[in-house]
Amino acid sequence: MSGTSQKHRNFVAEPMGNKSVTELAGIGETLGGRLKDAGFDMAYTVLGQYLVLKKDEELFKDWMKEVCHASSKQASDCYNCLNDWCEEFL
Amino acid sequence: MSDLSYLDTLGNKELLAKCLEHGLPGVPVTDSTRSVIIRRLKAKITGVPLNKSKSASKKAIPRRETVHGSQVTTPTSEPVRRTPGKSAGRTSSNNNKISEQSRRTIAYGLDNTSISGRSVQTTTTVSDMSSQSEDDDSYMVDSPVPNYSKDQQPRRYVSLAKSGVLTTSYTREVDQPLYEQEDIPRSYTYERPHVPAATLHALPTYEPRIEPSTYRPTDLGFSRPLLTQTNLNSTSYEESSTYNPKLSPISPRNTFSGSARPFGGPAPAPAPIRQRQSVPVSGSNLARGRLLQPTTAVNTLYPQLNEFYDQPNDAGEPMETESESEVEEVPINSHFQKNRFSPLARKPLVRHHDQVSPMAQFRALAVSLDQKYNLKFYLILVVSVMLATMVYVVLTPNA
Repeated sequence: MSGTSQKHRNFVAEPMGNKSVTELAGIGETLGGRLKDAGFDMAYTVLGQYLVLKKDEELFKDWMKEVCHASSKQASDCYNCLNDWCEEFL
Repeated sequence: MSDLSYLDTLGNKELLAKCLEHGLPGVPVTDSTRSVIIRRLKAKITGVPLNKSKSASKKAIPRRETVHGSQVTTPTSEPVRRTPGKSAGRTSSNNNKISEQSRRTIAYGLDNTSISGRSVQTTTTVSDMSSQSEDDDSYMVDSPVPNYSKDQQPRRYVSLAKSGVLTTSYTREVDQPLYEQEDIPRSYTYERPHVPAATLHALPTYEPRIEPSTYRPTDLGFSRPLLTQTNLNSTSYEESSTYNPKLSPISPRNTFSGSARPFGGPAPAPAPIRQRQSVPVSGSNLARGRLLQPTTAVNTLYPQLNEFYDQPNDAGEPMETESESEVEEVPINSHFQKNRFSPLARKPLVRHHDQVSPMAQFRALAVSLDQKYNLKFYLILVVSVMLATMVYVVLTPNA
């Protein structure tokens, strides 16, 4: 149960707006490039997929692993980031 | 797998229907979500998680492990037995129950240190104890052995309350009889000088009591002397009735035995003292006692003066009377004084006679003054001077 990263806190601290997908926690340049290749270049597109999956953790993580070959930790960090942001702003 | 291959051919709506059939969430099926949903359906149908699903299942594994732990504890109805150690591995839902039960078990362990099966019965008892003890959990822990707790509490309360009252009462009671017996002799030693007549008689009767009196006079001096006085008085009156008409030397002798004790020392053995007194009483005690008689009772501290003043008076009448009384008293006091050998004890007896006869005391004082200051010589000288002056006045003619 390590603490949240600074990237996670920065993303959750404000509306995502037009932030790049790489602003999400757990997504770096590599995963960001893969997501962009899959059409998910902006953060809100990933958020849309998160919402389409009805905030289901397992489905979202599976999707992350399938789309960008994210690790469990990376998928978990991204999920937690979007989840906290939704709790804050939705 | 071949059976499940048809899922790939299904449309989005059909996949959604399949998901709903198998209880999966109705996630909208899109091109981006289709693959994920198909995998999920396959995993759900086969019951075997896919690799991807494994990754998800891995995260679920710890949860399943926790659930698995609950399975291990399938006797969830019996978690009470295993509660203390296994509660950590169990799911949160079970933790609450387990925690409560674990507490009970802890109490059990305390109660029946090794007993696991009986824990249920003991729990009832423990809970009762706790309910009785009410507030403190520490009592729960301490109370686990109901027998001890129950026994100790009543014992303590009862013992303390009873002991506090009883001990005091007992101590007092025990002490009083001891002191009464002991006090009687004490009173003899100390009180006789204060109450001459009564003390004189009482002394001989209770010799063994004298010993304790010498040791404990300071402890309960006030209450004790009263008791002793009463006892002494009773004895003394009985004896005195027989002896008083004779100016009994025996009684004064007894007083001396008592008075002599304070002078001689606090704790002479009572029995030997009586013996000492008894022997000299029959012998030459009369002379010494008479010597002391002319002196005042207060003068007991000044035996020398008493001797000087009393000797001439002692040669007088009282000596004879006392001697007679002594002869008579010897058989009477023989019971008490057979053991008396101390000559010192006889002197105080005479002192008491002195108090009875103030005239003798006055005479003794006059004699003593004559002896010391030659009053007769001065008297004669004064008279002669007066006569000489008278003659001179008469013979000489006045101008």
